[in-house]
Amino acid sequence: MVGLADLIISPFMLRAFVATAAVAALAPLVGTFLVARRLALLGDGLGHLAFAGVGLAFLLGLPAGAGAAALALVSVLVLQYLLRRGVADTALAIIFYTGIAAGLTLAALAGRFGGAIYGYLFGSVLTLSTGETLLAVAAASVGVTLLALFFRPLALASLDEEAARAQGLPTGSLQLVVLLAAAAVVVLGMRIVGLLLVGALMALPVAAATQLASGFRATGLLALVGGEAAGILGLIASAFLNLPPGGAVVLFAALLWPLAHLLARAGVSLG
Amino acid sequence: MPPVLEWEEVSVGKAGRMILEAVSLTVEEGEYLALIGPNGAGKSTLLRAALGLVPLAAGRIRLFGEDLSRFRAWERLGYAPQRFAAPGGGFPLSVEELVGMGLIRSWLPAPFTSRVRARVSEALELLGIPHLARRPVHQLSGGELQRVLVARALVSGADLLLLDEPAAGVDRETREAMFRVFEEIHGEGRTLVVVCHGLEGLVERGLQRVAALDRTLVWCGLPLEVPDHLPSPEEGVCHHGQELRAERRA
Repeated sequence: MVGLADLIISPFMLRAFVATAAVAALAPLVGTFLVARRLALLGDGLGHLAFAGVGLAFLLGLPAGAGAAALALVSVLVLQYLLRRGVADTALAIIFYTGIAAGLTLAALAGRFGGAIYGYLFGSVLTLSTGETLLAVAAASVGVTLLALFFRPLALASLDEEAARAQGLPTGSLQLVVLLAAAAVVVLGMRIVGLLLVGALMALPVAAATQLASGFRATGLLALVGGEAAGILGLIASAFLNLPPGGAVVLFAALLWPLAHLLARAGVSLG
Repeated sequence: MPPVLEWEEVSVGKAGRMILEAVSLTVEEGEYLALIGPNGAGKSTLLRAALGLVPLAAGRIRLFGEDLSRFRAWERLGYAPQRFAAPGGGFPLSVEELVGMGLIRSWLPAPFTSRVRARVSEALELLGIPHLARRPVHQLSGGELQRVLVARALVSGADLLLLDEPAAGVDRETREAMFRVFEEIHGEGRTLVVVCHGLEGLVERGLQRVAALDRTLVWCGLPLEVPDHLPSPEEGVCHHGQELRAERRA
């Protein structure tokens, strides 16, 4: 057990804990606005699209993170346009699957098909550099602060777009802010849990929190706490059981729902 | 002083069908007006058009003398949608949070301060529902939700209140209490436009004018003079509207 304890406090594990904690704080907050807009799967779709950026970056010899960020940004602009026009979810399905298929194909064309892409699809949190960790912490801090500051206008626009418009709020811009925040989470979460799983960090803690919370703010806070718990417990479990961290973290996030359900059944209600 | 709200020859179409045709109606400052008419008459659409939520096929709307497209003083308006348009769709939202959202007037940070909480409590008190503050909106009964939506419209102290069937489906006692509140805030000089099915209970509570809608304005006048059978759109004569049109021509 001494070996495992040493493992937990080794520098690469500490970097993993810090980066995971940072992203696990931001993701559920962004997810609160997504789920309120009934866009729980949007984070998943953005992850698919960002993967096309990774493939493109391989092909062009650019950093994968830059490719993912560029494509996530373009995707957000396209999604903003489509969502404002009330597009059917079948259109989203077409775009999202095209993204992941393009990513695989581009990666293969670049001669990087195989092991190299696993880290981007399912995360590689144990190989984070100090710089990447600090970037995650800085970006998540900025994101959490901004979302907390603009929480009520964003909540109003997410829950009741008509009222928001009737009160003179720029509902289109507020939607764009939520989508951009989701894109940021996708890029930050790429190395933590991977592009295929990052959507889960935005959706699952919120789904669990909605069962226990009686208010919007309480939902956001509970989701944040749930996301942190899943992140930390998932990392510890993965270290002890020698499992991929991304899968373990998301499985803990998935466990939040039945846990919240049982607590709600027992009469627990918060906020 | 320009009228608070003017619909001028307003037409609205949806899916190839006209919902409103050439409706002209003017609401003066401090007026208390009821909009009546059968189901599907376009009452809600007329209110929503004034909020810029419905595109116009023809005509124009002015709020406080300003063309709708240029109007920015949204803090002067309070709106309560019909109950089935309640926000959230089951997402957790407390009554206090919902009513407090009536105070948000821009994208700028708007923390839930003690001042916000005090205004919210005041509005809930006025509607007789202070005990609901912490309840999730999706657990409210129809009548409770109705009052919460009215509280949100009132909370900002707006000059012009547009209330869409605030008393639909609530019990008699609640309805009377709500109408007393309307009379009280009208007494403070605020302008009210209330969409309702019937006028029962409103007439004796300070209602000043009635406009009957059936795709177009079919009747307009004093509450006690409302005919038992409202004219059809074909035979309807709205003196008020005609006067308005004559004025504009002159």
